[in-house]
Amino acid sequence: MGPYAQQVLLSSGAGAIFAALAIGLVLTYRASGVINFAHGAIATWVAYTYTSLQNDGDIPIPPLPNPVAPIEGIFDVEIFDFPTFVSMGGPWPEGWAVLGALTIAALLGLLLHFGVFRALRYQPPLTKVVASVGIMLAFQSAIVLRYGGTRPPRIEPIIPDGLRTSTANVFGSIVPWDRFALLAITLAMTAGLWFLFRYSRYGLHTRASAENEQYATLLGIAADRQAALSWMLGTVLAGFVGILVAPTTSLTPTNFTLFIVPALGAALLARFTSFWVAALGAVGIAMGQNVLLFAEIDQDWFPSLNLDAVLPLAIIVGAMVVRGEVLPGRGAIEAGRLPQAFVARWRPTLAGFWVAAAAAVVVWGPFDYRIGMTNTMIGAILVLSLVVVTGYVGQISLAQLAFTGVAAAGLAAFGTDAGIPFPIAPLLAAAVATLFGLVVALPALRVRGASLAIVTLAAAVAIDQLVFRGDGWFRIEGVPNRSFDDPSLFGVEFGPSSSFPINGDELPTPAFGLFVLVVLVLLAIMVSRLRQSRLGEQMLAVRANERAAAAAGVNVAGIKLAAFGIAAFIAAVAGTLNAYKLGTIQITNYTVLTNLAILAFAYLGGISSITGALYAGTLFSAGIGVVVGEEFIDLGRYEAYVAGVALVLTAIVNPEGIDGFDRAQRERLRRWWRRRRAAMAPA
Amino acid sequence: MFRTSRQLPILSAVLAVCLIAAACGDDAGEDPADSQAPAVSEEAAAADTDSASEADSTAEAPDDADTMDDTETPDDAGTADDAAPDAAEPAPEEPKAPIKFGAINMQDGVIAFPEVGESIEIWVDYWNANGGINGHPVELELCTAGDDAESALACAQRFANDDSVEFVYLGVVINSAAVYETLGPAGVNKPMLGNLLFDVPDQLQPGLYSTDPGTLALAYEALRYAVEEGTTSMAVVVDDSDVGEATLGLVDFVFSSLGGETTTAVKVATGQADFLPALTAAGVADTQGLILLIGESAACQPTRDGLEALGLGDLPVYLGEWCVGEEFREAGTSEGWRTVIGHNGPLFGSDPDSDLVHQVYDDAGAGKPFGLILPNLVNMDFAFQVLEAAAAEAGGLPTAEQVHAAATARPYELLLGPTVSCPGPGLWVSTCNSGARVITLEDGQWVGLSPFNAAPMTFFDVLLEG
Repeated sequence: MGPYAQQVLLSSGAGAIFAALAIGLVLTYRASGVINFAHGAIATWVAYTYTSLQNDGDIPIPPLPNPVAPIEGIFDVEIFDFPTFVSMGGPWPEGWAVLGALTIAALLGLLLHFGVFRALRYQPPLTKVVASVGIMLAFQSAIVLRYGGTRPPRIEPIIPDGLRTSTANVFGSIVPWDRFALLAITLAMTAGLWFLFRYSRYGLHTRASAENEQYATLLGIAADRQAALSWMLGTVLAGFVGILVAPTTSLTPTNFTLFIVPALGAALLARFTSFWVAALGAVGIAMGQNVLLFAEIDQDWFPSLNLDAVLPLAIIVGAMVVRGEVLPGRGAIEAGRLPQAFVARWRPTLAGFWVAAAAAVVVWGPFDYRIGMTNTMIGAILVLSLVVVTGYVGQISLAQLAFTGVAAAGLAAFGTDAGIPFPIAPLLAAAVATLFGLVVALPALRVRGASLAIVTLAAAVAIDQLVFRGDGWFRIEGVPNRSFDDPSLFGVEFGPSSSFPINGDELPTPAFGLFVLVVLVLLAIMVSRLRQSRLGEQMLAVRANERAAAAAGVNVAGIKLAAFGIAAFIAAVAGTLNAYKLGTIQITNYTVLTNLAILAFAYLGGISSITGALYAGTLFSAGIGVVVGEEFIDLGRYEAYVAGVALVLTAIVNPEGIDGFDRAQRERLRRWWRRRRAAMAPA
Repeated sequence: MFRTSRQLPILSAVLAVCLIAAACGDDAGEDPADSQAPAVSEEAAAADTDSASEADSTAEAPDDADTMDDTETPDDAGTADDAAPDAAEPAPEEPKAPIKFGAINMQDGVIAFPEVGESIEIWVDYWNANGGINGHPVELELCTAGDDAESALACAQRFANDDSVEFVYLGVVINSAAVYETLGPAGVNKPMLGNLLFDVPDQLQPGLYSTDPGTLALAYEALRYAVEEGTTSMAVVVDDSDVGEATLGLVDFVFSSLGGETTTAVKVATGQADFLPALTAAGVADTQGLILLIGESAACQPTRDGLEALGLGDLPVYLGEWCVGEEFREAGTSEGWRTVIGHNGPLFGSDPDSDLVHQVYDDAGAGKPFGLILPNLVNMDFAFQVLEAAAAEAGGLPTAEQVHAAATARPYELLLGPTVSCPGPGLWVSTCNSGARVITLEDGQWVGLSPFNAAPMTFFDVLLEG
């Protein structure tokens, strides 16, 4: 047997892992209409729980809200000392540890359903995506808080040693039996799910609920209970996969989350419907990846483009082209709507006040506030790009950070390497990023909603692998640090270390902050104008109902392309500003999964308005909101965890985001004031 | 779940406040870094003015600032005591001004090294308990960076702005480019002491002085030792990262120049689901050895499993110290593998330095030091000796220029073994130590296979071409 066939056989282990995650994603989607980005993180939490039970007899407790913490903070006393682990009386035997961990997984499923996703039944896909991202962030952070981030725990395999240490000789290729065992178990789980959905009462009811929840309820089917059961099944499945494969993959807070991308590709291939297509598709992806990886090594002519990592994108795009259109809809899903996209009212006094306040902070503020304000403004610009593409047009993009990376790399190529001066170099870089945006927009012509989120995430992976790590001008990885000179125009410099009459000897000098403020104001005005323009109205029409918009003569494809292009340009501006701020470029600044957090923060701020973008900017890493918050409460290592939980809570109780909440409160106040005036007025 | 619209915001606000507030009180005390708090407080140390002033009186010549190699017992150990008080001399003098020890470490985020931050705190407390630096109590200001560039830059700018901070210590800072840009000669030119040189650009930074040999020197020593023990054909598995990319060409170049031959190189993406296909693709079955350059602990067990599955459990594997640790020792993961390190850290129990490290950690109630703590402690000792020399030269608080001068003044013999000399050779200015040695795990005990050998750093210049 040739080496390629051997690689195919050896893919059974990775294939089994992707397949097990893919069928879990399909199960959750079929049962509740949620594409669960947290599936891998849940698997990881349960696997860690298993290691704790088996090694120490402990159950990890995620950080819990402390109701008396403000009192403790004020009086500097400790009233509650929450446990981080609950001891269950010494190490548990393997079987019991598995059972214990899976019981916790089942309870987790119930909690996720009743605590989170039941409340989101009638919300749009974006809200569910954000909630699942919040859960993912919370679980990842909780794992780091409880177990640390860098040392994998000792995990005892549940596959018998006999299988682990013996190998099969398949036509001359040596393959360990445990890889086949993994594959067999996964395929058995697939068959079980298929059987359950096809022939059992549970499956029939779940399918009925998926087709039309209201009719199913009229027929006496308890759709809610079905969904709860499915969530339990989904988390137990995820947990079992985690326990099963962790000895093969090792256990870190993030690795199962990384496996989600190929698993999502397979699930999308299966249109989130067929367990078999998802499982076999996942195995196919793993095989394809290994064969491509081997071809890069084996064949001189084969391009070294990290094609193995790009394969999931190719499969996803291929699936879109071949199978086309949208995911099968659930009646309930269609009901939701995105947050309102308000027309910004031009109030010069108020705007002037805020601009002056920002400028004052940048010029005279203490160090933390100055840097926090600059980070906030750059973050707000990045979120403005999401306001356009997601808030106005309803297209979920998880590739915005990749556009910032393209722009930064472009700035290095045009500015640092080619010596093109400011502002031509950053504008060229932004133009290139805009082209990338237009390319990423192409799949959006056929897909929408959560499936578009997956496509754009895969596109971000492709940009990372092909552009940032590939050979070419825009390569970031492995290139010794390229620094950026401070931008200057007509002899006036306005970079982070440029001189300035006030506080000019402190980094970052006010010059850069003021420059960013000017750019932010210009872009905010641009986005505001866009919202009020005919193009903006067409965008909202597309967001509301594509078919109706098309019927009314709106060029839906053109609007989507325009939105992605404009959004990519705005993201690129943020990218170049960030590059100037950092003074250099590193690939670690453009991690693919950070896109999820950016979308989530944008949603938390309010994804459909300029004010929401400003709110979101305050929440970014080292943003002004974080700085102010830490004046009062030092979140320290809990920051990411609190952010994750806050996202979930926002999705549930306040889907309009902070901006929506703020508007609602102001409106309530206004109504109260009017009533009061009316009551006081003489009859 | 929520039945009225009024309940929702109220409940969410209450929950949010509670949750945010939880960080103040819930389990902060159980954070590993908190629970293993240093045994000696800074206040106590600052109060120890007698020993501080006495130490000052005897630590005038930098050359006299001895290394911890001379340590006999933990109590009288270390350079602080070597610069130690003459018992006959009367002491009470004005307490010396504290030295501000600005430090940056990745403490937050999914990729975080809180144990390194903790080791900085423990070691600073140890200094203070033993008289500080040249009699000056050390005031640690540990700035927490996350796994994002923004927070690392913010820390760098904070210290750049703070005139009372004359130098900055780097624990583990992966997003370091912006830090170098701000603190290095292109910025405020404050000396940067420490950091682990994961990446090629880390090794080229003027103004940075690190005792970590860096990936290139470690790889060189591994390959040199491989040839020495007769391994002349080698498969290479690297991670798909800057380091991996940079190291791939180097391994091939260096190994062939040493008379060996690399057969196949495989890049493995972060979070690879299964290592077996990569190991097979690397053709490990047809080679005499495997050089594993995947710099994460999560790669250790899958590599061991993969090799054993292929019946190659005895194949010599050459790697860095990411598989050094109690869990891997107990599980036998690294048994027989050739681990290359830039210090003697894992060889606990075989020399006084190790005893000292153990003792200080035991006293702090902080468990056994492992992983990156060990090279960080070497960096800490280097920082101590440099600052001690600079303070002696200054006759008070040293300036940035004096720290620069002290760092480059002479070689330093350091805790846990290496002798370092700054700046590093040629372009590799921040690589003050190119010495590395090979150790192995033999029947559950770490044993040395080679002494420290210095890598010829200028040999790697070819990597920088183009």
